[in-house]
Amino acid sequence: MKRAIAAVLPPLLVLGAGLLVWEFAVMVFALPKYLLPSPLAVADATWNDRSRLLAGALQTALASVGGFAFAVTIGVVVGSALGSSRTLQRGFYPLALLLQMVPLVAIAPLLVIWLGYGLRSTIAAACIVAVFPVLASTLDGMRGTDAGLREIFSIYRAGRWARWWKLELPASIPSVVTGCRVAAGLSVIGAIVGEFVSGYAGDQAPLGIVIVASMREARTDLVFSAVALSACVGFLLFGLVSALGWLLLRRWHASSVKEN
Amino acid sequence: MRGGARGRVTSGDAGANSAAQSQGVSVSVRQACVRFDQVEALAQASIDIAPGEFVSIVGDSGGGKTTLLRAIGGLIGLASGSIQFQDAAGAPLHIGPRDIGFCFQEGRLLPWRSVLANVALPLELEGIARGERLDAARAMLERMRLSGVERRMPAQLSGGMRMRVAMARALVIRPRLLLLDEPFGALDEVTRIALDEELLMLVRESGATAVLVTHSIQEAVLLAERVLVLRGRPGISQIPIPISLPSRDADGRLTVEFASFCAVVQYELRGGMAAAS
Amino acid sequence: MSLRKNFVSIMLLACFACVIACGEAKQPSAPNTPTRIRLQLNWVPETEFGGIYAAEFDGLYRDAGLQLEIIKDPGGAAVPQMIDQGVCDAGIASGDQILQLRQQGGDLVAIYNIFDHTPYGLMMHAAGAPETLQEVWKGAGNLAIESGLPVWKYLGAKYGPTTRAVIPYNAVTASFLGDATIASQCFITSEPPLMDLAKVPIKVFSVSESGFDPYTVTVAVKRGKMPDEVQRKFCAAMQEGWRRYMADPAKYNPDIAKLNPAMSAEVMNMGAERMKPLLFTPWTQAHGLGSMDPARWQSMIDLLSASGVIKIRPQPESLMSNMLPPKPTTPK
Repeated sequence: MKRAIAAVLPPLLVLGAGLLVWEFAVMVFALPKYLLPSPLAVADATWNDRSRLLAGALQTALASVGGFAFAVTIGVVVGSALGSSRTLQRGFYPLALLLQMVPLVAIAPLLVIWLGYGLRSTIAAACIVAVFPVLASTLDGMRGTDAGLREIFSIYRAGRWARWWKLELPASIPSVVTGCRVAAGLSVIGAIVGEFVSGYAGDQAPLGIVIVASMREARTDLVFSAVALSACVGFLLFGLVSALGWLLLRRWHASSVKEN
Repeated sequence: MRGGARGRVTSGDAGANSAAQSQGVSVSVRQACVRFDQVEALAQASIDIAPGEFVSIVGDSGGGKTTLLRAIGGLIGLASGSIQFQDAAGAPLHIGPRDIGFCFQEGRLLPWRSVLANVALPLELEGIARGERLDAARAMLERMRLSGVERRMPAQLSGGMRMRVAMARALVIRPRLLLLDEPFGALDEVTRIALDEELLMLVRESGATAVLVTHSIQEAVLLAERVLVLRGRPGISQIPIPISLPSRDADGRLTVEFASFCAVVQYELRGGMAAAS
Repeated sequence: MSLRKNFVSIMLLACFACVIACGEAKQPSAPNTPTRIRLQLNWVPETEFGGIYAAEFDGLYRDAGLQLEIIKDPGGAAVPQMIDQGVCDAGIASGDQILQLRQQGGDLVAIYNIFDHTPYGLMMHAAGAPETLQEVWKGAGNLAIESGLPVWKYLGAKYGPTTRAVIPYNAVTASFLGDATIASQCFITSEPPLMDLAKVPIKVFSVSESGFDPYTVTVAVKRGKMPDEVQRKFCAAMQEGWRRYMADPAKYNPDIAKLNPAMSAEVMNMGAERMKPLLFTPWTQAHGLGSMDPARWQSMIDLLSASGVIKIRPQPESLMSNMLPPKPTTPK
């Protein structure tokens, strides 16, 4: 219990200090609300619009989680495929890289044309942004499989499938988990950017639409609220991934296990 | 001190019994050469190993000891020469993964599997059913008095324990040929002595032919019936030294014979006769 | 006004936060040199700014001792905030934006108004289109609007929530063309002329049908930042520019089209045609192009306050000032 408090207290203190400085700065410089709202103003706006913001957060969370799930599946499968064949790797890795380079803001309108409005294209947007870190880390993990272990498998004449399932995949899990941690945050960003262009507005408007609408109304306080909530969604997803990673790795990986 | 370079060698000491002897294979290495990218790693190596014999290879670093071992095990190909296997009756044999057990210095256990699952791995890769292979693994672990750590992960074991688990894995398929590449090199002296004893006992019980590459002259002399000294880079000159000790157990290191054989091996290692060979 | 504009606004606001400590920008104040005015548009050069450009091309600002710098915007600038922060001396803002910024601590004043009636509307394919704006609002199909525009909140309060599926308004004509039942937000000088040119029959429902009719395209300044004399000269030049432009749009449109490669002079001519009834109204005939009626501001304040969009209700006179020449000009 004491250790939990010791872990949580420092960042909370820093956060609290930061909020105080912020409030103070707004007061001292007499900043208009549309430029930089004070933390209290943001809290006030959040409370007043809480149902709309929570509904929006739920939509964005759905898009993020959906996109993340697709990204992990595609990333691990394609990464494994590329990792097992040098030819495939040479042919397709540059294309995967290209996908990463094209800015989502440019692709997003195309997604709407192909997939329609709403969750389908926002999930696709989240997936596109999140897939590459998973792919690259899976590929890295597979290529980095210990040569000594590989030799053991070749000594016992293990087949390709056995080699992948029993050696390369487990060996790459630490790397994949790292890639997934990065992808978690990115999928929220992707969801929100996608929502700018394809989100359904109305009562269930996702956070991306809330941000856009609030900007138009000069409601910077609501923008901050929405951004803070999307950060929360990101944190939750990140926490989920970390917890999953701990579960998978706790018994054997240096990052999690305690030596006897 | 120096017996015949080739051919059958009788080891006068207590050890291998004839029933177990039929389990091992004989290895005939003829003029084996290995090249890596134009660099010669092994030059014209030749040796005959009898079924169930325990041979140790010592030599300078880079002198080709490991290369010879790996060539015997089929891990690398020969540039020229041949390596052939025969059973106890002299009939030629094809050696497959079922017949060879390897032990490496790093152990090479899968870190995400328990000890039991690691030991069962060779059987699993062969396609043996789960219940059967786990039973075999358990039996092996029991023989080596490792049952207590069945469920542990490799990271939770000491270096010595990990090595013993690696040995269990190598032996679980009952190999006819056991190849060990400096298995105890990373361990402390005390652990090493204990494992030497255990290795000898296991090899005798299984009757397999054993080839041990080691840096430790003492270990080589204590365990092997013949010590092959590879001198030069690559091991151009090979000097087999038959070892005959009154006892190879814990007290074996304290005998005069042991000391003198160690001296011989050391002598050969350092150049032997003045004339280059 | 496209959505990309709002996305980039967020980035710009982040930059503004860094500009805070620098304080307000100072105006150059040498009396003998021409007064420099940076005018920030909120869109690309188009018919909706035709008169401003006409005055520029004819040298009217220069003759008045002003040096006007027109800064165009591909969509994304938060213009009201920029005026308030002094990034520009004047800019294009709508009455509801000025009102909303007032809620958030800003203080802008509209000095010249372009459209006497709001150019915003909902555009549908002519086939199967209903009769009234309310029917459109309560119809079926997609509704592409810019979330955050107070007019839609007002319609939602007046007619009840829309029964259509609300999608973002992207100013992408492809989504309109491919959708038979869609009702899309439109700006009278943008989308309808494009459809006219493409020979696509459409029906435009002006937002003013609902009774909500704010001054949608005004030139605004930050209170107290531009001297009255400068404001007067500026407005006089603009007024004359608009008179000339509306008299002969085809004369000026080719030059404007050069500044905006995405739109042809032909489409601009069509846009100018559609603009006429929104510029020449009984009020402007009586009081001159560009002038504003405080009662209209009051009406906007009342409607938005009643539908819960705003809380602070300023006096109309604090949101606008008529800096026009006293004699009204009669259009030809």
